[in-house]
Amino acid sequence: MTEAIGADVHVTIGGQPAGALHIQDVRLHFGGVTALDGPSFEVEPGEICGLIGPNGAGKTALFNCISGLYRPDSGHVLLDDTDLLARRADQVADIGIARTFQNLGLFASQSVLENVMGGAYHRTRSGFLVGSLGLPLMWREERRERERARGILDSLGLDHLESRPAAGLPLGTLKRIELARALMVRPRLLMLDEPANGLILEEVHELAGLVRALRDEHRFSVLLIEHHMGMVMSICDHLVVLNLGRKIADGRPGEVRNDPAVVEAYLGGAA
Amino acid sequence: MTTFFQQIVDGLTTGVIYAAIALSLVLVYRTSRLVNFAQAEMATLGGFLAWQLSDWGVPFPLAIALAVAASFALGATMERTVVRPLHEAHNELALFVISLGILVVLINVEAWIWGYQVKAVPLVIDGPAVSIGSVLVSRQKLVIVAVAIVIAALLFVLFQRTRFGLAMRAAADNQPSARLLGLPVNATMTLSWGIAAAIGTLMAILVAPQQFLQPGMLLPVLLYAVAAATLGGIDSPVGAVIGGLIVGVVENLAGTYVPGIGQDFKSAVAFLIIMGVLLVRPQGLLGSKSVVRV
Amino acid sequence: MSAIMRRLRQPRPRLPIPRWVNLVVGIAAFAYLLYAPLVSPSYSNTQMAMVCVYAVAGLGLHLLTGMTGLISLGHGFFFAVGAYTAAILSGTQGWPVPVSFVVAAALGWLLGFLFGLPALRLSPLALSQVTLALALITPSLIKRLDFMTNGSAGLSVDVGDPPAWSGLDKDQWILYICLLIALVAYLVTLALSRGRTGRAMKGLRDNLPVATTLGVRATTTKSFVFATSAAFAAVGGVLYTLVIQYVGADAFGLTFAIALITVIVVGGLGSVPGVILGAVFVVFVPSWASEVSPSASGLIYGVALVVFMFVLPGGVIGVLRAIGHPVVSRFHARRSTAQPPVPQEQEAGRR
Ligand SMILES: Nc1ncnc2c1ncn2[C@@H]1O[C@H](COP(=O)(O)OP(=O)(O)OP(=O)(O)O)[C@@H](O)[C@H]1O
Ligand SMILES: [Mg+2]
Repeated sequence: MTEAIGADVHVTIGGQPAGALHIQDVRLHFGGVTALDGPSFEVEPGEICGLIGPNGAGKTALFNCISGLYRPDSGHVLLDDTDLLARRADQVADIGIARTFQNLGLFASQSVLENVMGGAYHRTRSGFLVGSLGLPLMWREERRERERARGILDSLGLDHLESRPAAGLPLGTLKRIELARALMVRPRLLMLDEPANGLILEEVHELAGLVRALRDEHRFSVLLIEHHMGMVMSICDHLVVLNLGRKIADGRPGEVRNDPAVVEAYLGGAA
Repeated sequence: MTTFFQQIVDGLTTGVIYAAIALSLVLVYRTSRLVNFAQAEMATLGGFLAWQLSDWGVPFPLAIALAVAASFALGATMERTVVRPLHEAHNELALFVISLGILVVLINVEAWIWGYQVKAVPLVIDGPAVSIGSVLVSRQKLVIVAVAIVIAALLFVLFQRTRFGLAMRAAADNQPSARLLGLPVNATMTLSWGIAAAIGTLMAILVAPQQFLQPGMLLPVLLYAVAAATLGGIDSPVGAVIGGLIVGVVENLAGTYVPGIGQDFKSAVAFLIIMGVLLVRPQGLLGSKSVVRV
Repeated sequence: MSAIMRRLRQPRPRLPIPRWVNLVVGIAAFAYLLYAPLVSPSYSNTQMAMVCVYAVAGLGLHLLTGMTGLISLGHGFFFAVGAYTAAILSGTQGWPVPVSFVVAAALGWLLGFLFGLPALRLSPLALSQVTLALALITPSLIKRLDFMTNGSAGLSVDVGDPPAWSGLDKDQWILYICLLIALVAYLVTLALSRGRTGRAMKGLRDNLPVATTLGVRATTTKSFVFATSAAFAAVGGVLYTLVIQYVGADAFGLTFAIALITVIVVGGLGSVPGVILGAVFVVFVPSWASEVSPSASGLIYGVALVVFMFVLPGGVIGVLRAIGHPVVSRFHARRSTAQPPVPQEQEAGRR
């Protein structure tokens, strides 16, 4: 069923191969509300997979299951051979999963640079003892990661903002900063939750090109939730459609667009 | 055995006081998401007002009524001026620090005006203790219990039988949706603070003869009230009442029967209750589980 | 009116003061502090030492509340642990003062860690409830343990006598000890606040789920912060015993906890230098106020908490930044080309 373009690409970033995500029969409910009703699909290494569906379909809930913030009632979530459901939420960054948040997950009180450096937390080691004694290890790590963060900010055209507090910047900029932080994690799987939401058309095109270019450069897999159909159609190799927690379509963008079930769900959702 | 029953009844009558203050805490928490540590001191201030008025020659029942009304106004004003902006900014830490600040301000203002000399507040009812079987209860305590029952009944009617009560419950459950439905959320917030302050003051006046009216009079009670609200569920009015009674009884029995606790270390019971409940069942007996959305 | 309020409440970032300026000011201040005790009257040395006491304990609370956003009203307990450790070990038993520091820090850390294990699984709100209870039972607990603490009578001690070679008076010697410890505590806090651990703490405060997905393990980090801040409080307690030469049960309850919160709020929540300013505030301002009325000194704490939290959440440091900003930016403008302005619209980190 899954026919992804670029499925044979197995290029590495930082010594790690791009990850294949394997979702199987994930179920999650909140009281009487069924958020996820057993969807299964695969994201092939290096592909951009779009995850679409009407409001309340369970897209964000699935992201939260992958990143360990929600515990599904049953099902399997694997990145390559690693069982993500057996890990705590604070361990998934180390496995190589980075994400952005639908409602922005930046730390408002911290500077842009600090926000981006947050992405290096999982691979740096200086803890309380090293930190409180100000040992050289800490300063070495700080310097190294600060340079990396600056490099990423630079490549996204944000370098002039590094010492600004995140609060008070325009939405489009904030979304880029959040993306920069996710890149800082050095992901094998990058998950973006509605990155185009709130952007003007021009910015959306720019963002689409950027996501594609980043994937081409770093060869990570991308799972993209997006309501902006133009963006989804233009960059996704593969689309999965959820409705009411269930998968209703899965395939190449062109095929999925004309699937009667999808048309029905969107029209039904709009009515 | 007689002492045992006496202890239970004493515990219940003390528990009524904890329940009342816990009820105030819960009312405020439901609308403002703040455990207002100044609540008990606001009540003490009301006690001082009543004493001052009656000292000036105002008849005691009228003094009580005026003090309760003034407390209502004070609580409502506080909500309108200080609490609302911070609540709307979701600045819980600031709100909490301010409630501590208000606690300190109130204690010191009371001390400045009235000093630490204990004020003699008259009993609302005098006469020998009533005996129920072998158990003795003072008349004032019976009045306290009766008043508490009336308060609970009135609140029940307000919550369950009026449109305003419906708005209060809706606002406590889900403020944004309640607003969308056009319910008077802001008014319920103000009213909750007013009612909470009024209940506290009424109780403070009634317990003042026995607790000795001075600044900080109800600080020890605050601890038990927090324990009671935690046990019952910090957002459940019924829970607060039940929690208050349980805490009153447990504290009294532990003070008498558990070796190593004794009368002057009873506060440890409150500490253990709070810690225990929060660990085993953080939402308390009747409270609702809090959900975190991402 | 509300425009003024908004300007006052606006959060302000750290000023980009050049490193060498910081260094020069730091060294000058340090030199002054080395010299001043020699020429000051003994009461003012004692006051300065009390500033150090509050600063050390306040730096600990800064880590917990200012950085991590968790309130503790129970730090009087850990402060008391340190104070009694010093009074018993160095006072009653006659062990050297450095031993008391090490034992108090270790004991404070351990007790903080143990207390934090269950307490930190709770929401910040619940933590405030538990620590309120801890604050209210601390005095009775101390009285309960009267075989060690001598109950309500307390312990008068004679510790920290200056060695003969120094030629110093006792108040001078003790002030030097306090300054040394406060300096160490300050540097440790600075390193912790600004590096990787500091970002983790602020991350947990600003948005816990997001910080978690970046790899911060909330429970462990919070336990370590709580334990560390308890250790700071305990070390502050040792200094307290040195300065006051007496410990009694009633000094460590809710009032102390509130004074400590005043320290970090007045200085500016989340600012390390602010803690020092806050400590100066709680030592000097109430004692001036008490000349008006004894209640006025208590009132000052309450009014300060309300006013600073409501009107000036950035504290004294925030005010200094607002004043200093034009100066510093002019300085920068002259040296480098101005940065492109950025339009202001959106709020970051909505939840
Ligand atoms: N923490 C939670 N508690 C209760 N219900 C939840 C929670 N998180 C999600 N839900 C419910 O699960 C369902 C799926 O929500 P989800 O946020 O995943 O939708 P979505 O597909 O991301 O929609 P949108 O496009 O609007 O973002 C909804 O009915 C939502 O109300
Ligand atoms: Mg969503």
